[in-house]
Amino acid sequence: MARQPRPYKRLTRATSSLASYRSLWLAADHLLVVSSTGYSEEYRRILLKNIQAFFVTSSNRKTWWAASWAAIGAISGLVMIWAFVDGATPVFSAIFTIIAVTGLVWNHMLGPGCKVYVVTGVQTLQLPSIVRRRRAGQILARLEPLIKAAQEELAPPPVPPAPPAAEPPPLA
Amino acid sequence: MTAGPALPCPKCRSALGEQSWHGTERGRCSSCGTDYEFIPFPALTASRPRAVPKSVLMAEHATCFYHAENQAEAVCESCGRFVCAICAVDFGGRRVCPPCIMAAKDKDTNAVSSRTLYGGIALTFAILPILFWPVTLLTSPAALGFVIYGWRKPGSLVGGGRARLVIAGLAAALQIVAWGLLFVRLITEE
Repeated sequence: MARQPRPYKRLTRATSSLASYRSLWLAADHLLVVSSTGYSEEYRRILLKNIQAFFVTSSNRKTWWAASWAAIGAISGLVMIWAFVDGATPVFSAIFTIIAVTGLVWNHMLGPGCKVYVVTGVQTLQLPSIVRRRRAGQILARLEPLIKAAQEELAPPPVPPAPPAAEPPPLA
Repeated sequence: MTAGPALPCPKCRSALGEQSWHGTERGRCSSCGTDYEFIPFPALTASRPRAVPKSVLMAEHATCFYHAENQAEAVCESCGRFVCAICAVDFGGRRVCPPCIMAAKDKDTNAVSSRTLYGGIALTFAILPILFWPVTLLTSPAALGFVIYGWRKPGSLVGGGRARLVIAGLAAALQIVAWGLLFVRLITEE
């Protein structure tokens, strides 16, 4: 028996918040915002034909992550140097330093942070799983033609080109 | 240029005011100073046709099941009841009445609002208590119970399948077997 095609395609990986993971999925006619605790999932659907606009604003996510990784790296680096000076082999602090430096570089590569909001006729909803500007650009570029196609009947008809001016009759 | 409605600032919720939305725009909220990029779509400025019911004028007119004063204009594709323009809702490519949408909430994938992930629950009961292994005497049967109970329940809408249930079931079964062997050994030693 042939397997049924999955109705949803993943747009973003799960982004964790305090006690849940959020991800964004695309179906044929709607977006699905999934909020999961690991034990249950909640779904919010946004029909493509109802999307009026997207807002994209900047966020401090990159700065906060950079500061966090830098703090961890600085502390573990100091402990590592201290252990070296004492003649010990700083295994754990070296591991923490490597992790922090990797995190710092990774965070830099992900690019600046952003928040994306979707506007419909009844609400303005943040899409919490889109948190980096580069990824937001990719996702919105993918969604734009789909939304425009879903709203084709709403788009104003193209203005027909003006007919060429008639040649004036030759003067006798 | 097309005039659009006054939208709220996504950050401070104060009205950005009616603007001329045209293509991708940038702007700044005058209240909170947030810079934003704006990507509008035709739905922002288009006016949708409103469902206006027709009143019953003649006794022969079929009436809406839910509004006796309105003419029936459609048949619910789920329950077959005659419904008026207000009650005929486009839902997942079908025209159905609101009670049928409510009834479909737990079954129809286009309407379900939440799902319990029995795989996640079973896996937690099967794996986490290993850290405090004596409690697995209680938690492993519970994990197996969740596996059996959740096997035929609908899972996540976005995938995952039954892999967690299988892993949890195997882990729980192993723990139960281990406990069984331990009890057998204790009894035979006595």
